[in-house]
Amino acid sequence: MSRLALGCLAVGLAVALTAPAPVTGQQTEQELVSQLEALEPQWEAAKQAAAEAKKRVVREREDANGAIDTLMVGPLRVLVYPGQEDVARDVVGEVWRRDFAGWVDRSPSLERYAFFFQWTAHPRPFIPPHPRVTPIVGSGRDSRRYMEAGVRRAVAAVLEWDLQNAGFARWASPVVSPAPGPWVYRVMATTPSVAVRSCLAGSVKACVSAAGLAEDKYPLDDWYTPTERLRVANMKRYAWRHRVPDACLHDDVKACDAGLEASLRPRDYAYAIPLSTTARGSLLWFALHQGGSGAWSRLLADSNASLATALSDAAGEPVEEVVAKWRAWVVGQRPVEYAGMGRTSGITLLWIVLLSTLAMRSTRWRSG
Amino acid sequence: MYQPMLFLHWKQIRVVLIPFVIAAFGLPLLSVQGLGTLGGAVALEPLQALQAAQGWLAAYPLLAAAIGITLALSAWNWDHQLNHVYALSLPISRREYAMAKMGAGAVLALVPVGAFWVGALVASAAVHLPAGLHAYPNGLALRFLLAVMVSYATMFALAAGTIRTTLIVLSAVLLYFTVGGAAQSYLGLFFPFFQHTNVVGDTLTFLGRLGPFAVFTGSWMLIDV
Repeated sequence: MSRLALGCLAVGLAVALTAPAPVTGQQTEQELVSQLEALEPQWEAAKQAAAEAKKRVVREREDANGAIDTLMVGPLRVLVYPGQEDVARDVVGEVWRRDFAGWVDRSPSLERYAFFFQWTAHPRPFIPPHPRVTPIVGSGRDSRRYMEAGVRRAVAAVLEWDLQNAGFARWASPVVSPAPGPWVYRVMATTPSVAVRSCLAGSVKACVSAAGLAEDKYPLDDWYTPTERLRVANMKRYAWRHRVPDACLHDDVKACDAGLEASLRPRDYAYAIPLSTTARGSLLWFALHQGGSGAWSRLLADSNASLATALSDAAGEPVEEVVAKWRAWVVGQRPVEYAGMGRTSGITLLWIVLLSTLAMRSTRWRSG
Repeated sequence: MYQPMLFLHWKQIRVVLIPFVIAAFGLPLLSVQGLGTLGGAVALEPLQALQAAQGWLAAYPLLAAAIGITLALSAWNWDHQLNHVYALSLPISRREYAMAKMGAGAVLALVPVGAFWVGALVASAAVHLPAGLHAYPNGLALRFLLAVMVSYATMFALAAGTIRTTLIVLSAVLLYFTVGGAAQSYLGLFFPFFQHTNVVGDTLTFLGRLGPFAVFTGSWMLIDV
């Protein structure tokens, strides 16, 4: 219907502009203004028709969904079918308390968005009444952990809308759904960057630099050796909007440097920063948790703040201290290979004994 | 009784063991191929080194399972062929006989496992790893040993019984995992409990953590962070 209304408006405009006497060079400004003013009622009518059509679509979708209840879990608005209230409160509430309540005090996006929650063996179809409803749906076969992960992802995705206007949005995306600590360690340990290696080895200064938080903003020489710059530029050349010059393919370090620097322009994704987006997201997540109550508001308070300032404001302490604590945390998360082998060996030996006993208890000989 | 049993089993399996021993020794070497040698010219970035090593991950448990199953089947092979006449003619109990047979197979399993361990040690010593990465030949060899043993014990227990018993056990397991999901959905119509649980999935999780095949589910990395 809204398309129809806009179509009518377009036709109206065309008629109004062409039906009167052909516009001539002599038409005065006054006449043009009055013609435009004459179109205003039609414009208003078209807008109203479009709004009505939109409301009707929402009503029709709500009718199609049948009765739906709305719950408030913290600041989260959760839509559920009758009978799902308790499980929604339980699952969504736990995720909210555990992962977000400590540092999200106020979020404009959470006020605008709602979540539809359904976890049952016999899910009913649901048509979102408007685009600002994020569905979290699981069947009876899905585990609670799966549902909790879905809630966490959905809330995180909505929170990320708050960052749209922040200068560091691209620096640490996705921010609020971080990778697990062992994975962050693994990513860092396999990053081809001398700065990241120094960071893991214990240099907080290298960590700050590798994260792109240092004052001398993008010190390529500190971040990578020439060989690493060649490799990184070639690895990433197809991902960048500003392609790496072809000469970089032929081991021309200067050409690679040009490509790396191009990725660091303000609106680009800063792929050249050695600390990967996974690790940067983890750092910001850590800073928010360190900051505790109000950290999210402090992070968003100044959209023009530098990365270091925003991080420091969110955490409530100097950026070097946050980075040092985060580094210690990441190092503590190093996956210890074959760590559980003692337990696994015990379990396996028990099973071997059990299976051997079964083999000895066979009745084959007795039954002849 | 044990020594003749070991000798009999060895006679039957020795030719079959040769390719397994070669594979067990060669697999770790293959998985580090291209990572550069000691003092060599080529040293890959850590990420590439890990990716190269990961390409061979699936081969380790498969080889372990194949060795265990082959040993177990060969252990009972001549009994089934001769209708257990030889075993019944011996002046020992069934329990002692099965135990001697089981022990013989377990000792023979150490041959390919030993080859694997040596291969893993040689492979680890031969590569020049980038900073941040480490080799775990001993941990991997221990996992390989346990995987061989549990495959061997499982198949040994199954082969010890009659074919009928084996078929019943295997069919019951297959039935549970194939029809279990549908049965749960149906039960969910009557019992809310089944709407929020995943019986088959939970069973698999349990087996992955505490079941006989838990050893297969962990890390099989020879090289990691």
